This record gives sequence, C-alpha cells and structure tokens, in this order.
Amino acid sequence: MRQFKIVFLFELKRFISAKSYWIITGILMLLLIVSISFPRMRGFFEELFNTSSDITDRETQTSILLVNGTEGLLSKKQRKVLQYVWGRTFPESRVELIDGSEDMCRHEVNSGNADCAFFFINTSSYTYYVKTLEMTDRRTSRADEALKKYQVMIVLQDADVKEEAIDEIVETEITHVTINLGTDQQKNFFYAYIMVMILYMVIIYYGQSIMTGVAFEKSSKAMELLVTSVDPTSMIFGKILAASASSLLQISLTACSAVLSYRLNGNLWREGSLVNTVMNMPGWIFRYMLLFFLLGFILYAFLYGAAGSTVTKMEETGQASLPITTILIAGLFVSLFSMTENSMDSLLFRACSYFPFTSPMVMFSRIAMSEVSEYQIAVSVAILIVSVILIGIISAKIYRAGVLVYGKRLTIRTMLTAVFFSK
Amino acid sequence: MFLEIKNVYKSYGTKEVLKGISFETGSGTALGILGRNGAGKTTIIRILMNVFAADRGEILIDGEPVDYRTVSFGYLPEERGLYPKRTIIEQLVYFAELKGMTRKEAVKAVEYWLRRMELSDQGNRKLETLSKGNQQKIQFITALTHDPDIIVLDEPFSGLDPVNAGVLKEIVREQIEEGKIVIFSSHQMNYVEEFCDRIAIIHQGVISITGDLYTIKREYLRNKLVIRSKDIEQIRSIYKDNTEKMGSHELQFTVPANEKAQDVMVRIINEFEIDEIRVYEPSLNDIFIEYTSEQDDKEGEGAA
Repeated sequence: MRQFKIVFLFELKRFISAKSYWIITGILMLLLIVSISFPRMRGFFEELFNTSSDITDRETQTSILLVNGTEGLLSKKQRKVLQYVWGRTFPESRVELIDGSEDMCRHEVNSGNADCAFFFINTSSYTYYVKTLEMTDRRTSRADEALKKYQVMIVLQDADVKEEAIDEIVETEITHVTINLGTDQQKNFFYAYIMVMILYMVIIYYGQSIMTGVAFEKSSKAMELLVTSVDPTSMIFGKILAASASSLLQISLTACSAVLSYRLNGNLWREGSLVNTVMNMPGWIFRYMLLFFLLGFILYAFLYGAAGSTVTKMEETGQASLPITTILIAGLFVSLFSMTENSMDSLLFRACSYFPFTSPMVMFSRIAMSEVSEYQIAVSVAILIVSVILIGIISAKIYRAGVLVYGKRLTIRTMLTAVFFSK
Repeated sequence: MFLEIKNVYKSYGTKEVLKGISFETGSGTALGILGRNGAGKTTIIRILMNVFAADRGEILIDGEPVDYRTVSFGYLPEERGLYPKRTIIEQLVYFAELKGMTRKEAVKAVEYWLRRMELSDQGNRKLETLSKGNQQKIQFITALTHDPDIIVLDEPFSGLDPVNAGVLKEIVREQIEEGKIVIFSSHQMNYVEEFCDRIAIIHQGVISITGDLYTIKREYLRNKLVIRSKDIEQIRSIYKDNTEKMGSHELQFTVPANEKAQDVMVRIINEFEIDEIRVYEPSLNDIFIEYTSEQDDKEGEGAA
C-alpha cells in the first residue's frame, strides 16, 4: 500500500506536470465556454454589425415554385385552392403557381430562381425538385399534408359546405401533451451518445499515454531498477489509478468551465436545445455515467499498461495496442448502432451489456435508453468490478514478464506462462 | 552477514545460461564477478537481485534463504536508465522512498549523496540536461541512498573519466570499510584488482575459478622474477638462457629448478645495481585470459 501511494503520487505528478496536459485542458475548457456562450456571442456580433434578424429573414426568404404539369386539367377554383393551401403550409416562403414542364423545374431550381419546385401531373402525386437536399429538409412531409388538405377542401367545396366551416375543419390547430412514464429515449440518446464518445476518446488518449509511459520506461531501461524496488502490482495499480485521477481532474475542470459558462448563458438557449438537455442531466444518469466511465476507463488502462510492457521499441506501441483498440471500437459500434437503430433489447446488445469490455458503453446506453432492472445493473457492475481486479492482477504479471524482455516482442506463450505460473 | 550462491541453474528457452553456479562472500568484502561477454554475469546478478528466479539453486544469507523484505540491496544495473524528463532530486527521492525510506530521510540522504558526488547545484535540473558521466553518478546514487547491506554494481566504471571514476572508487572503498558486501561485475580488470578481495570467474555458465584473489595468485608457480635495472644487458649476457626482455630496463628471470627464488634474488642484488626485484605474480588479466580461453569457446550472444 505504501509503495502504491508513492508510485501513484510520482505518476500523477508525471501526468499533471506535462505542458500538453494543461494545453489540452485549456483548449477543451475554452471550446466549451465558447460553445455554450454562442447565443450571447451571436447577439453581440449582430449588435456590432447592426444587423437585425428581420432583414436577414427577408433576404433569406425562400421561394417555392408550384409547377402545374396537368396540361389544363386544373380548374381555376382548384388552382386557387392549391395556391391557398401551399401558402398556408409554407408561410415563411414565397409560393408561386405556374404552368410548365419538368425541364422548367430543373432549370428554375438550378439557376437559383427558385429554392425548390413541386411538379404536379395530377393532384395526388408530385415530384419534388431541390438543389441540395438538406438533412433537416421536411418540405415533402409538409407538402403531403398540404395536398391532403387540398383534397378535403375540394371535396367539401363540391359538397357546398360553407367556406367558414371548411376553414374550421382544415385549419383547426391540434395540440397534444406527452406524459412519459418510462424512459425518455429522445433526451437520453444524447446522454448515452455523449458518455460513449467521451469514454472512447478518453480511453484512446490516456490509454496511449499510459502505454507510451510504460514503453518509455522500458526503452529508457529505468525498468530494471524499478522491478527490483517495487512489486509489480503496486507499480501498475499506482500507474493506472494515477492516470485515472488525472483524466478525472481534466474532465472535472472542463465540466466546471461548462457549468460556469452555462450559469451565465443558460437562459439564452431555447428549451429543448442540446445544451439545455445536456446541462440538465438527471442526477441518476450522471451517477451511472460516472460509475461506468471510471470502471471502463480503469479496465482499458490496465490493458494498455500491460501492452506497453510487451513492446521493446516505441514504434511497436501501435501494433501492440491494436487488439485493445479493436475491442474498444467494437463496443463503440455496438452501442452507437443499437442506439440509432433503437434495438436496445436485442440479444447482442443485452449480451454486450454484461461483457466487461463492452459493458461500460453498452450497459450505460441501455440504462439511459430503455428499461433495465436494478438487478441486471448490479450483475453488470459486479462483473465489471471483478474483471477490473482480475485484469489488474493479470496485467501486473504480464507487465512483470514483459518489462525485462529486451530485443524481441513478448510472445503469447511467455505471457500465458507468466499469467498462470508466476508467483 | 554471509552471502552464498548455491548451485544456481538458469535457462532461456533451450539455452542453458547458468549450469550450477556457486560462490560466496561476506561483509566488508568486495567480490568481483568476471567473465567474457555472454558468460552469464548479468544473469546471475539479476537472479541475485530477484529480477527473475533461478530454475534451480539457492541464495542464502547466513545460511537462510534470502528474504528480500528484510535484507536491503543497492543495485546499479548494467542497463542504465532513469527518467530523463524528471528532476534529479525528484527521482532519487522516489527510488529511496520505494526502498522504504520516509520522505524526510530520503531527501536528507539524497542531499548528502549529491554533495558527495559534487552535484549539489544540479539537483533541480532535469536528468537529460546532465553529461553522461554525471548521469551515471546519479544512477550510482540510487544504489546507495537507502544505505543497503548488499551493493551490486554491474560495470560501475564503464564510461567514466578518471576523475569521476576516482570519486566513485573512494565511495566504493568506504562502503567496503563500512562492512557492506559489494559485488562487482566488470571487464575492467584493473578496477576489480584494486577493490576485490575475492573473485569468481564465470565461463560458459560455470564457475571456472573462485576464491581469495591473493591466494589464487600465490597458487601460481613462483619461479619467475621481475628485475628492473640499468644493467639489463649485462644480466642478459650472463644469464641468457633464463632471461626474457620485457622493456628497455626490465626483464623477466626464470629461476632454475634446482634453485630457490630468494637465493637468486640475493645473488643478483649483490652482483648488479638493481632498482627493483620481485617475484612475478600473474595479473588478474593473465588469470582471466587463462581461465576464459583455455576451454572450448562456443558461447552465443545470449541475454546475459
């Protein structure tokens, strides 16, 4: 325990006295402060350049072309109704109805005269022309609604229903309230996504750092003195926990800067925005996030430490870390795929939520995005804790065997012999 | 304290590096482990330092198997290396603390040793900024700060200039006088000869000779004299069958089988003007060459 403490403090100092550590922390803090202050900064710049959003809106008002390709099938009344519903559906745009062909649609959109064009050959189907289909483009679903409205209006008008009654039928605003009694997948998707991405990045960054640290000690030959001065378990636990502590410090500082910036700018973000959602993370999600983050990080850190001891040259670290990085990326993919495909309860996903190398990402995603019983969480955490301890001990043995093999890579056979037969 | 290495075997894969090594030494004694490249010197030192275990054999202190928690070792490995980017004091204190000292004791001891090595003003510098010789002195300090019972030095003087070697020699001598067991591995025979009361020559994984250096030397036939005189040519003209010129004023004289060396010495002193006359003793270098080349030389480039 005493040796562990000495190694821990020495290694912690190694991490936090590095210039790069503070530069990265500073950049991360600055990035978050700036991102969260974005609405304030936008207001500031608009004021500075004396631009108002009205002008901007007018200048950017889009124009929509309704191109009638029915060759005279539309009556005057029908044309009027079509123009009317389209104008109501796209109030932010200038809507113009003209007769023409598909070539005309192409030409008008390509030349920039219109932002988009809807080409009709009858009143129940259309072709949508747009130059760049943006990710957030919802015009076709709005157009579908508009076309339905059009059909209803025509039928009602033909049935001599009064215009006020028709308006009432088609223009009634529907409101709704959702009361979610279970998990809010929409919101929690962000939490799961953020946790998975941060864990992945932190493991990659610190894992490499731990690995090169060990490999450097080995290549600088400090190792021989170390192994005769300290027992390998204290050594590797001290190293790994020091790396964990310094990563936690870095993340805490970054998070503090985010919280501070949010305190000042939180009211400027609209309800339901990503920033508001993340900053108002429920306490229970945060606690699980912290638990799985720490256990996952430490587990992988041990593996990187052991891998570092198997190389003899710094150039070999990439090759030695490949198997670990592959498992990590597999966990990342399984998590992201299941999150986006909404297959939280598939067998693969459930199995991965117990497998220690993927459970930190996968079990957390499951907790955040679906219903998981406390008993299942407890089993997953227990497996993870036992694995951390076991992997720690195994890593210490590999480390012990690896650090003194110079000139050639540690073979799998030597590694296994060290794990199973060394005292 | 009495240290015994008993019948130690070690193989790397199929290659047997040590084939039953045994030697012993006690407090206040320096033992020199000698051998050609790949003979197994570093392997036996690593086994002694518990870097890895022997396949067979024992290491005993006062007749009991060594307990690494109670017997303290100081070690200067052949593969030198510390932390180039950390300050000198920081890493010396780190190693001393790992060896069981409190922080306060460690700082005090480190300051003392830096003073002794004439490096007091360098303590807060990063190791990489020091010259190679000074880095070696820092490495040497790691072996001494915790006041160990047994000091193991693998090639301690390699790469040092004569002044730095002198500082280190003085410290090694002090440690021997303080009753420490000093174990030395070196190719530099003059240093071994200077310090070591006992030697163990390893050749192809076995001890080819071990024991008290003085006794080993005395066991050689004492039938040769070394004579230094301005009358070298005169002596040679009279005793031409018995002499061999060694330098412009020095020759080697082989005592005839029917005479005693002392009688010949008296006679020559009486007959000529002699600056120096002594019984020729083989140097350690001669002994080393004799014990490491007369046998079959099929050693590989092992990890020793």
